[in-house]
Amino acid sequence: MSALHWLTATEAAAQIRAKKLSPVELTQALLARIERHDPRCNAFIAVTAERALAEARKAEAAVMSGAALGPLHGVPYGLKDIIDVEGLVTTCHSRILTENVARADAVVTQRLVQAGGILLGKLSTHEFALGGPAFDLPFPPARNPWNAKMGPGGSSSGSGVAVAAGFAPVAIGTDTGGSVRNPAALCGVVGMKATYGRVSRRGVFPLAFSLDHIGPLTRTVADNALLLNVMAGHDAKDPGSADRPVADYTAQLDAGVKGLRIGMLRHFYVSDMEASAEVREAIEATAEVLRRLGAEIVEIRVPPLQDYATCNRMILLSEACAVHGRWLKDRPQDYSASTRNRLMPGLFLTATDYVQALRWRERLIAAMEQALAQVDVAITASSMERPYPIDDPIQVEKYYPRQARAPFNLTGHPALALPVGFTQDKLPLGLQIVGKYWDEATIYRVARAYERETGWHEMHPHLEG
Amino acid sequence: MSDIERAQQLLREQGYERLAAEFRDAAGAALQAARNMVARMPKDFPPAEEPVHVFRPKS
Repeated sequence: MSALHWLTATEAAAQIRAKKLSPVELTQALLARIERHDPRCNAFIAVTAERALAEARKAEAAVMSGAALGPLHGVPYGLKDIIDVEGLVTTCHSRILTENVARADAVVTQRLVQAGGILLGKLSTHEFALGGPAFDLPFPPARNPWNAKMGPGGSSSGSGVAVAAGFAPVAIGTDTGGSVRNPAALCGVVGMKATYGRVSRRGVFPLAFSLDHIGPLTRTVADNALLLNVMAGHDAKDPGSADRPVADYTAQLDAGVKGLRIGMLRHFYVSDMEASAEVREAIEATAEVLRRLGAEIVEIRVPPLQDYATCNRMILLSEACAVHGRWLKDRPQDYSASTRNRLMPGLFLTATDYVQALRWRERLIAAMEQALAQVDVAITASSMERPYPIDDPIQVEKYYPRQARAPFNLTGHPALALPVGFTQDKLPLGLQIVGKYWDEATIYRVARAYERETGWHEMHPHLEG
Repeated sequence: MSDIERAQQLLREQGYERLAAEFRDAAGAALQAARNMVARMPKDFPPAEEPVHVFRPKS
């Protein structure tokens, strides 16, 4: 049997259901690992140990009594600290909200609770899901468990770190310009940003209303599909939520890729922006694996990456300044310099600029739709670079804009970050698989075929050193 | 007028007095960043081209 901290959610839930594993034993093991190793990783802003153990004891009693069990019964998880849990503080990793006690659970929290999950705590983020790793905030930035001198990506940094480090089998993050997929790629885990409207955002602190998504980070593709099954669904009180049927995302996982047509969005990382050689080679090697497994690989093209990135930025900053306007007026000194500097350009965009950006968005969506209509899924880069040295502000600033994730927040298409190997010095590399609207199932199918063939998900960081 | 002065003026007009006073260099850089974004945007939108928007009638 695997060490308890490396059990996947699927494995843990099955063992708990079969009475082979106690939720209390699992929770205690993870809490002990967090206590021992998180001081080096800073994944957690708050560990809710007592609450977790109480929930675990209830979960154990339910198993022993033969009660109906949810799909995550007894499985521990963590939440990015912009997601509300009734009675707990949602800090958004900011000085501004250190006393912001949530009055109700977010919808995604409710769904995890109903599924039987056990909350381990609230996870580190870039401030308000926007700033970079910052040292001028009340909480330190999370560090990459593969090498603590490196950044884990963000903004859902604690979520990526917690899953990669074996603190929790699953964690929830949010993604407005790539914030689930960035830490997933840099920490070597799987991160899904589903179609816009697929997962309710109610009870999650907004960054930009028309770009915000909530998504799961996990160590395996199967766990990710399981989590999306739990999280997805209509919420009439979220104006962006879609009233559409939810597929069983685990149903087609092992269907393979034979006969699928996979589009390579190469110009994003070869000519629009030049990815590092190790990133490009990892993407090409992935395409070759999928070709060998029976997929047809073709080239597709859309407008330049910088068009998507700029349009996303204009809309993001305009909407974010509507959220933050009052605090920017009254207490600008309470933001980290990084967050404040990232927000401020939004104050110089006019209402007309915003509407024109929305018109531009329509054109960019149409072009992406046309390209994706030719294929079953597309592959492109996530980050253009390997993980960055977190203590070097110049490297940090260089790293963040060099990515190809924002296009899919702008268009709302589902996109998954998948681990595809390591640099020579054992830092994770990742890419994105992008799908048609509402077709997360085919993304998972392709990701699972690759994962099964390569086994990268079985490699874990050593925290003991 | 320099970029920094222009940025300060624009911020004051919107009520962001403290940002204008305490973060003047960052404001100047932010103004330039906003201009760069706007410059990249197409300029050929026909008057009647309707954008994506979030308003949806409830029934």
